[in-house]
Amino acid sequence: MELKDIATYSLHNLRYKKMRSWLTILGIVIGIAAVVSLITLGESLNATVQEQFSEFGYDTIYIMPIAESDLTSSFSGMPPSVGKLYENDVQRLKRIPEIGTIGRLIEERGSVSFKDKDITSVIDAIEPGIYEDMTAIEIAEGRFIEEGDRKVVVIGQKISEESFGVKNRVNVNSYLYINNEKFRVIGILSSAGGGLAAQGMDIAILIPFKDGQEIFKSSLAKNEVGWISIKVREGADIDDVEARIRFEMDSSHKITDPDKRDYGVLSSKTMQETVGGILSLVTLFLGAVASISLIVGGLSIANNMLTNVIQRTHEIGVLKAVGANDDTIMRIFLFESAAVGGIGGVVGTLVGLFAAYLVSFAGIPFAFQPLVAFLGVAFAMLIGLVSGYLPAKRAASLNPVDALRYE
Amino acid sequence: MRLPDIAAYSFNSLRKREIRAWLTIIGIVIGIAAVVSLLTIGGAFNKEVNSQLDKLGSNIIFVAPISAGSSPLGSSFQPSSGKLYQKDVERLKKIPEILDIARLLRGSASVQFRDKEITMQLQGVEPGVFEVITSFDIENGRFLLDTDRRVAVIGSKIANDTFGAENKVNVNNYLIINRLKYRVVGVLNESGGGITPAGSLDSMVLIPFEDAREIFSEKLAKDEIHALAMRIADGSDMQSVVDKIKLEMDASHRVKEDERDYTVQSPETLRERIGTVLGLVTAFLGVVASISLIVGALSIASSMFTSVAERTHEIGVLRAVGANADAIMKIFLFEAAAVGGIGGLMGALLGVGVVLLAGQFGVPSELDFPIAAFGVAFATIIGILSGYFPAKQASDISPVEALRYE
Repeated sequence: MELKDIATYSLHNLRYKKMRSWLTILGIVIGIAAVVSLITLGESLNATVQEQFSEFGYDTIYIMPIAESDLTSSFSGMPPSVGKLYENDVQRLKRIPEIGTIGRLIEERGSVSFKDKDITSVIDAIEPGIYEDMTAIEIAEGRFIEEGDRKVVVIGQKISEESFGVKNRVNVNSYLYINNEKFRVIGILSSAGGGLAAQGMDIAILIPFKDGQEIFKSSLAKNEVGWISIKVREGADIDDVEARIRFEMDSSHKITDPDKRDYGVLSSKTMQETVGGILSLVTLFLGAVASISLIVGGLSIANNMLTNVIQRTHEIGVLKAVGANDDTIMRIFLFESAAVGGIGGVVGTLVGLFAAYLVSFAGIPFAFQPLVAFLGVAFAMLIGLVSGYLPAKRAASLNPVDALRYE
Repeated sequence: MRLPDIAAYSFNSLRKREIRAWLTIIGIVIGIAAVVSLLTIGGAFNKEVNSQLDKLGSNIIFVAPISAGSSPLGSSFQPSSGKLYQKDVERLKKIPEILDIARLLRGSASVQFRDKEITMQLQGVEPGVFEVITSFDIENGRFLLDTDRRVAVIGSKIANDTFGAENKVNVNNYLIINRLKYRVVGVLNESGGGITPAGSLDSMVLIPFEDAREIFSEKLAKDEIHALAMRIADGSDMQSVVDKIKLEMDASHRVKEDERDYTVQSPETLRERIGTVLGLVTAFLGVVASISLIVGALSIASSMFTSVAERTHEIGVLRAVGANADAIMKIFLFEAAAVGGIGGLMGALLGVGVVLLAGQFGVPSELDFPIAAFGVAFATIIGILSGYFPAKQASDISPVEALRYE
């Protein structure tokens, strides 16, 4: 029998199988829809996050006095520091030729007051000229800090508009008291459209590095620099540069055992990979839980096919009597179960994509993932084939004489 | 027909199509096992978190400045929207149910031990009150005294790890904090990752309140306090105390309800918040796993329709010897319920097995029998619901037609 004939014959049967075939297909539809919608949503979210990361650029590396294991595992709040970074670390790192610019950054919590209201917030003391090079900033009003500026501050949108009360807007040329020192506001950052990066920028309070050294004197050791940020020259291999940074830092901090490093190196690439890895893991887990329903769906197909074989025993006898061999019988039943899986897969994928699309109105991003859709259909067909195998085998191995006698 | 007869009859017919019956049952087993194991593990996780919160004591209330908004970057990056002052403490003292008020100052500072200098979290506490309010155990040495100055009590992680394993900090060692010498008078027991709103005590350095005020003087406004912890008299209604605190704080800060720049946290609110989040996650996973039960239900329905079709003649015979439509309905419903029930029972057992296995890998695995029992009941109900239409079809068949059917 040719494939075309097998197809016509199987689908003819499928059409006459009424209720129970449709119930079986519906089971596969539901399972595939669940898996496809969850994975599509997860992957869409991941794609959006990755896109936001790429706005940072792939060429920045941060060195922080925080253990690397804490850096990547902590998503809420600052992990405890395990050491300190000093001016001589910066000097050493300057020797690496692939490093384009190197900046120092002090990040501390401090007391900020405007008129009669006090808040506590994170303050970043930055090196002008270098900081803009590494961070995407956009000025909404006024100007950014320039070299030589002292006692000036640039603030984020939210600090300007909300932190001191809606009626108490901080404008350019207002004065803020930071740890009891007077700072003039020279610029307000624009909120860059709600990306991950922008959320940090909204609450930024940026002051010149030297002012930071002074107002945080009590919590800083001599020549301590807080964090170090590095921009790698274009074309350099970032993994390679990371390795050289570790080498210089290890020798500067006299570290021989990598497990005892008192600093952490975080590149935008690592950050992106870590977040992507976690999101993929969550998506995979949800997909796996949803896939349980596909196992149940597979069992249902097997059940249905077994029923077909039993009900059509006589027919199988007739087919064999007119010359169909075992192989043909096997193909007829396998084709039917693959069709049940395939139809369920196509409909389920469409339903799943539609569900994911609907959910996107609740704020979760939606991006059509062709691979996920293709895999949904292919996987459903595979389930059909696998579940149909044993029933088809049973049909093929029926003894023609017994089968003909069966009523 | 009496129930035992229906049962015997149903089991007999299930046995006749044994393989297909098992395929349907296994579908339910898998679905119920997934739901039962996920819900049990979720519940056990919640219980474990609660037992850690219990360490806080149930009659403690915290007041702290609120953090504006929430961000994926975590709350400690967010600016606070206000501060607490000594005048707030004076006002709160008026509330009779509050027995003690402990003032806290916290912040990071550079701490040096031998040749190693590290930035870490300091907590300035009032020894007498703090000791009453927080539950902790001293491993070595003693706790701070009200008259102490320039001494420190350190968490177990700081003593053993922070400065290096070969550089352990012991009682009577000196730490240099902000260029001043502090003598270590005590080391706390490892709290096993216990939670306080300020983070784990394991990596905390506790120093006298007045010393902390000096260290942080540049960052503090006049009379500023970072947080307050209060002990409430036994037997008082926590909710009404929380309301009174809010009333006093609103008056002290001159704010309306929607402008509050502080937050009042009791273990109860913490518990509720964490419980809500964990509950949502568990419920979501449960729902995703339940999709397999819908598929399982369709499988039962499909299998019952087949059974009705294959036994049409038999139904005719039953009707002919006197069974009414009701009895036919019952027979098929019982069969569907049996498939669901057996699947549920085995699924619940398998689910419990999965939980116990997960327990071997450190996942909280306290068994929850109501969840398992619910699994069995739910599977039986699924069986009955999916069996309803097939059973209805069977009971509607006209006896004459059925007898003629081959």
